[in-house]
Amino acid sequence: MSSGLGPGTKKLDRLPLEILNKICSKLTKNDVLSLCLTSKAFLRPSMARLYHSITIIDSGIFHDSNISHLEILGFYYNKHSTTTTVVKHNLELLIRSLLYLNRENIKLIKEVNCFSNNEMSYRLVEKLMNLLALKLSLKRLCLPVFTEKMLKFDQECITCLSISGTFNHVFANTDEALSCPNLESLHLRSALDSYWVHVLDSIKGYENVKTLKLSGNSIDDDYDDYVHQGHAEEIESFFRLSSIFNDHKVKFKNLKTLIFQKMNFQYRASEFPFLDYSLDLSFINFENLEGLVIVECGKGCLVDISDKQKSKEGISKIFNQNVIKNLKLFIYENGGGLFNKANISQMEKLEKLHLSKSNFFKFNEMLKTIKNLKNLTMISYNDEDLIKHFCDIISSQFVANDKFSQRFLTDYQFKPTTPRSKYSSKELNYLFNSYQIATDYFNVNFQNDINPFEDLYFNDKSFINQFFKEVFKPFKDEIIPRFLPLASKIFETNSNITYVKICAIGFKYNRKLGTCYMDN
Amino acid sequence: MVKRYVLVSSDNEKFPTERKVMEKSILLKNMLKDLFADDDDEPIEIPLPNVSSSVMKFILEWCEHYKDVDFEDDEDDDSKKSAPIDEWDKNFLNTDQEMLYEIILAANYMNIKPLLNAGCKMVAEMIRGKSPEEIRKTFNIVNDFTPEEEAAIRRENEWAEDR
Repeated sequence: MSSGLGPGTKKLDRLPLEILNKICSKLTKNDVLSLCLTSKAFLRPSMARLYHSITIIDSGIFHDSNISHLEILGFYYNKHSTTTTVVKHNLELLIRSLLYLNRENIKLIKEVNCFSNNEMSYRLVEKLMNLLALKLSLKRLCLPVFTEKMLKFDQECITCLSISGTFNHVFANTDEALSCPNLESLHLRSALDSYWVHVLDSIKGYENVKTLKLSGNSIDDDYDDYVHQGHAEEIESFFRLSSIFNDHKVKFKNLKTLIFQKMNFQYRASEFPFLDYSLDLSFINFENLEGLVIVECGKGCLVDISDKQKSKEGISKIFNQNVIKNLKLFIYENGGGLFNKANISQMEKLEKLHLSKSNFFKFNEMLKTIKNLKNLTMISYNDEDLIKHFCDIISSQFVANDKFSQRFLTDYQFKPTTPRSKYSSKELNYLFNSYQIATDYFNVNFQNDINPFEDLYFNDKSFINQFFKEVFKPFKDEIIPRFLPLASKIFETNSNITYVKICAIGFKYNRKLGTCYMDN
Repeated sequence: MVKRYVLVSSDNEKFPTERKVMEKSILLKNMLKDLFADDDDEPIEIPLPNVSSSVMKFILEWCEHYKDVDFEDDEDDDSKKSAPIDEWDKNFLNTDQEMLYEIILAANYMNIKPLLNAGCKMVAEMIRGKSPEEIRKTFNIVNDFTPEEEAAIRRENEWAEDR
């Protein structure tokens, strides 16, 4: 009864390698993962299958409850049955795994497809391939096949739509337009060029959206660096978006919230003529740097805080959906730059100030919902009259929420329009108290942590503001006595720290010198 | 006069076969084309020393069933690879594991790609959704990994796991 191919061929693990390879090619990724742990006989064919063609999908694709993320990935999986799909969370593991593998196994890789709008992850893969000296077919693809899938859904059910890729072939595989009469939220990812107009042309009902989120590519924290690296044009193109929308008469009739994601540079409402300027816009940029920073360096959003309830809900949602470690609040009131326009009367200005104050109190409530915050940076571009309210918020948070730990940053930038004398000593005391509380917390928590830095800053470099220094100088005699004991305590408990500095006022206490001086 | 073709199994059993049926095997098709002239009236015997008579019966039954079907060369077609196994093939291959492997090996040897694919899919179906332990049990496989080796493989393949 034997086929004559030799004894022992009647067991699966004794079949020739070429047959095992074929069997593995019919298996899904998860089954291959199981099979390779079964016996050494399956290890190589499993690896060959697993590493044959790798598809890296970076970016969340849909955030709609009707179209699950998994479904889309599954869809991709079916389209590329012989590839192994990597989602962004596993990219680092893939890299580690590739580095573990010996040269022989690496030869199994025939193709790497990078489905990514994220320049950073694409470059990362590219660099890795170069590092491993692999001559691979590295494809950089956008996500061209969504619409076919989406058209099969009941489009009336779609209330939230997120589209990756701005290139025209996002919609190239169909002539049909999406009809989403109930669309409330639209997220356009990599909003960098004029293709958005074509994308919007393909979505009937876009004009009714209440929330529009525009994402850029991953942009480094430091805007200047980003520009310096030759990305100025990319950033500029985002600004062009508004005029493109305007030229094509793109209108968002019901827009209440405009969100910018992964954008660390500021916009002024006046730069977006397609918006209704009755909106009061505040820029909130939060960053989640926990995890794979290499893939996604930040998230941000712009939230309309003119409606207390909506803004609370919006911000709560963001906080609930993200473990926020780093929060930056860029506070623009009343349409940002519009506030300082010369044609605003004193009365209007006062009204807006009043509104601003009440808005900050709203933030107070919202901030209480943050559970894991480590770094907080608040930047106000408003009248310095608001300092006190910020301080109220910060101080109360430190008292109320001991989760603010490890490192605390406050960063205020004020327009130097108000004479220094306008500040009451009480207000300045507020400010100083907030720093002291911050440093106390820092110190207490720092003892249990390993500090990777030799030097300890209470605030980042952007905090050094000449105006601020000017404000604090007269109070030097009051500040230093309160600062020194704190610094000494830090030195006692952390031998690797060479100096402690309050950037806001430029005071630096050097361990070796034992003196406190103004650091310019 | 219709030419007679006879396939001879490893155990010397003879299977008179129609040319059309035989040509489902690329091996036999090429052999007929290259080795035997059309004007030769002698019956042609083709020995297949790697295929036993019991397996030959299965193979010829499959070829007979599909003799009028033109299979496209779908080797590189991902959608075909992931397509579910044909219902007839499924019933046909619903045999004991030993015979299934024999059929796969014979299909590979005789270069009958659609049958080879169906056989591999059949095995893949048996693996699908099972844990390593369940796979071992199904196929009577001995675990030859040390715990350390197993842990290393898990670590190496962690990137591919769905989370």
